Amino acid sequence: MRRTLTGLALATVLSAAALGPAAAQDKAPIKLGTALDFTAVYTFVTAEYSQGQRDYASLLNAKGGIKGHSVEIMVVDTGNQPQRGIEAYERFKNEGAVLVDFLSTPVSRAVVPRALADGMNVITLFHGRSDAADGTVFPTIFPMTPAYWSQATAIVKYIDDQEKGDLKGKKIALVMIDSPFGREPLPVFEELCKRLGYEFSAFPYPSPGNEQSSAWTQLRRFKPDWTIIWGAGGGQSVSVRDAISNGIPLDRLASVIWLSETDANIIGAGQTKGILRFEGVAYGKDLPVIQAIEQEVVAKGKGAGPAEKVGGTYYNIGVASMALFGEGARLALEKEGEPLTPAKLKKGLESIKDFTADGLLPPVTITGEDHQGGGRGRIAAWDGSKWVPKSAWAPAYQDIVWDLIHKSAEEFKASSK
Amino acid sequence: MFYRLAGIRHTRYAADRQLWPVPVDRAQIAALTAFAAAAPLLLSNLYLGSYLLPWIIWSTAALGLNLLMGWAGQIHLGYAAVMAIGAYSTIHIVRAGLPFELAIIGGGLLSAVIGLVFGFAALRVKGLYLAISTLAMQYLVDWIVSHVQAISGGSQATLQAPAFRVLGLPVAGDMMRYYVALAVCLVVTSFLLNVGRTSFGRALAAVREKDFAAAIVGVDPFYFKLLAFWCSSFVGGIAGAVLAFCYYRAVTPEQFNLDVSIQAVAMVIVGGLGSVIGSYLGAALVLLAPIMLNNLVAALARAGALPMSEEVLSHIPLILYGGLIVGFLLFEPLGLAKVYDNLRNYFLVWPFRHARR
Amino acid sequence: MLSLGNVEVVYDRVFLAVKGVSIEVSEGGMVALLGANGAGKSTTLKAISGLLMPERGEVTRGEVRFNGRDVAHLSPPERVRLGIAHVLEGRRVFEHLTPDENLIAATSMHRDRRRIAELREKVYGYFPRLKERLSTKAGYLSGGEQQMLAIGRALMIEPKLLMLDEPSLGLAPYLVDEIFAILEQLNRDGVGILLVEQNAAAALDIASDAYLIENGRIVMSGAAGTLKENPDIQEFYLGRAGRKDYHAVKHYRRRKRWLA
Repeated sequence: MRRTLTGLALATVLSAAALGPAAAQDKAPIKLGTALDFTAVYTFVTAEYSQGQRDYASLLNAKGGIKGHSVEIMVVDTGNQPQRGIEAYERFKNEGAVLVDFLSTPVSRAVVPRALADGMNVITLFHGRSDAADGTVFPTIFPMTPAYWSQATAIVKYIDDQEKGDLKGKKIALVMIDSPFGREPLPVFEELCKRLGYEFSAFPYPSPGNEQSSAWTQLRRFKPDWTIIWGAGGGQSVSVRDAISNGIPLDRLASVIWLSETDANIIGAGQTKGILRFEGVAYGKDLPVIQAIEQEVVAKGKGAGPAEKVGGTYYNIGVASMALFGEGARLALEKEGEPLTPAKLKKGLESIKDFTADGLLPPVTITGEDHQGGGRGRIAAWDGSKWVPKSAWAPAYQDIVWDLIHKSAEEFKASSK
Repeated sequence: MFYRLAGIRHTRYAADRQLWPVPVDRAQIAALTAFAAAAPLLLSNLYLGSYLLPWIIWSTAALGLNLLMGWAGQIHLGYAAVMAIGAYSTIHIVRAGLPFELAIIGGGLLSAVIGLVFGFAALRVKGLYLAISTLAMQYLVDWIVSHVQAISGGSQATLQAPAFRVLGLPVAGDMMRYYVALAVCLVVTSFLLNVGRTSFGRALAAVREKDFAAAIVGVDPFYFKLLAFWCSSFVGGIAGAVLAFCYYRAVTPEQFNLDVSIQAVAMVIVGGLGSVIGSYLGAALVLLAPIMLNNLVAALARAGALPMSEEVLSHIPLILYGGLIVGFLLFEPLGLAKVYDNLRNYFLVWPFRHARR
Repeated sequence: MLSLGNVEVVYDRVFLAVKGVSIEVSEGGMVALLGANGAGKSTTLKAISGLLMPERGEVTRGEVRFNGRDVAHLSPPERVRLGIAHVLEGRRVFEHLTPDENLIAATSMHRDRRRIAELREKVYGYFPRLKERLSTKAGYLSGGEQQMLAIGRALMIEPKLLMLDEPSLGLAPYLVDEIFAILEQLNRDGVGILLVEQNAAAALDIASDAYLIENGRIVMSGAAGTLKENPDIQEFYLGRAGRKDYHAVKHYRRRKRWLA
């Protein structure tokens, strides 16, 4: 027993000594809390996403942190259960976190009332409430990227461009999971339907989406010119497979953001050539940020996960979330001074202007009103080995999106009274 | 010695029939109640708001389900749906302008009525067939809640719990929310503690043990099964409303899906069928053990004791949790309440080994 | 053949039901175990056949030996394979099977079909009534027929020791006579019998030895004839104290002599 204790003490001293120089930054670390779903529903994205976040934090720390502050990410699993998310949130708050991330719509929704009451910053990249883009109603909720409504408009914009601006009489079909997430874009498609004059029909399949054949059989009778799939995780590869077997041309099939190289490889990288998806963060390793991570973090053996995942779709989204946070924290420290608090970080995030993280992101500008960051996105196609952009970063039909955002945010404001 | 029985002679019927004839039991209950009342002063906000508060709310819910499963012997796999009805209707009633006290009773009544309708359909069948019928209730309510935007609250399917007052006091802050939940929990607990001493409780036990034997002594099994469904759904609806107002502060369909129903059944079975303390212990194990195991593993990982990837790491608590539940049920098939009972029995006869039968 | 040495049974970890019971059944013997309701008779039988577990009971002390082997830690099926058959109180036949299927269900240990057929014929030899009701579901048999089926099912495992728990329960007197006659016949054919009975008179008539159990203790044992003559047994269990001059009865309850 005594020997173990001595050994432990020795190990502690040694490791403290080893960590010494790195930890010797005189300023307090900035703490973030990420309570993610590693084990239940969001498993398709979480591991890579978290890896990207931690690798970028390691990169920041290797470069001396943010204004001398190191970044510390607390990671915990929620299993997608709201009560575990709430426990983690309260714990993070106690630990002094300035920003939290849940990457889960149910957990984010359960935490939003608390975060709003506490003034804690929550980031919800590409998921969560679309109406949280309204910074006046949701002061501390930061999507910072195009939420689902903007993704829907971006896809329709691309279709419109391909049809040379004439969608009259064209048929667009939506195959979506029958859940609030799947039904969320419906008002956008219906509103655009009025404006652009296409024929629109939705084909829901039951959650979780392992079985979709009846939706696709109906869809075939509709004979769509363009098909949009709206799902996540395992349901996506089922959708694509059913589309192929029903003879839908893949270059006329577009997906919400949750379609990655993993899904393409599950079906067969060659068979899925041409399929389109919405993209809010650039893909691949040919980006200065990712290159820097490769050299400073991965090459030095400090990577948080398998090296082959670096540069993947969800990995890059994780990196983007931390890049946006880093920029916001830097601005906050510059303008508001030490120490960094949630309130100062909020101001910092709201002063981000035309930030692209060296090409990883479209130009993101966040203001007190617009937490969506401008709503810019693009469409990319799978060429069998990588995602190739098919359009430039651009916002699409933001007037419709903002009408919906304001309407929904008003409802939220009224309901919490 | 610890539960001293010697020298305790009840001289009046009332004294003999009281809930806890043994003084030590009374002292324990008094101490627990005092702790529960003083908890906001003793515990930090973290432990009050994200451990104790959900625990007492879930214990209330488990008690309601236990009335049906443990006392009346009817399985229910759609309990979360019952809670959802209570939560959504209470929110809608409060938003319509009625005071919270009335709204929560209204929510409970609506749950009870809908639960009763399903009880009618379900009670034509028994055992496994009943399990499947109640499962259907879960799916039906899930579907309605998530498809009818007027219920679920717009395109985001989230409904905020409005600010509310209880007895004229505004309920804001963890402490007030805790006291509201505690009050409801105490009322439900005392109802269940006493139900076994009433003719209602005895009728339920008779129906549970042998429904035709109950019929032959004049207890109508169908009526009492329905009554059990009614009471249990009422408690479930109220627990759902408390969960929505005092804990989540917003309701979404996922908070009441099938997983939650299964968790509630697990609480009752792991805790112990037909036991009040079992409902508390079961809720604690099912609700809090995953969180605590998670934190334990995370602490070990931070200390460097578990060199592995985050993905593997986050599955370890799941393995431990599964092992814990199976282990407890292997060790004591009648649930945690029986573990407590064994301990209590041991100390009742201590220092002797056995009691007279 | 069977010897219980100082067996103690505890239910639910604290409730002591049987306190140090010792019983001997010799090869081919016929022993009766008498006692009032709740004295621990059935518990003793369950300790021998291993059926305590489902009722949360366990043997906490003492030994159960069968043919010199300690069987206390064997599972019920293993004990059956050693030749211990237990006919449960309340019959417990498989109601949805026919009598024939009930018998065959008890032959999982036999591999030889011819042997099974022989055994079946032997059982039908003992209980010709069962053969008449061959294709009815066992649930529709009368109480006496069900009891016969339960005994017959036990015989299919070719027991060395047959334990019967209240075989006369709820049966008409002539049926009791019939079943007891069959038990005597079985015993003559070499099966050792341990009989638990409320009907002490009938049991003592056919048994060679008897034990009297009260409050979980053996309070008297000996040859059946000796017990039958004992005035206490006569008064408390056989109800033959009769012909009393009630004018001479003193007004205190007679004390059982074994309660020292």
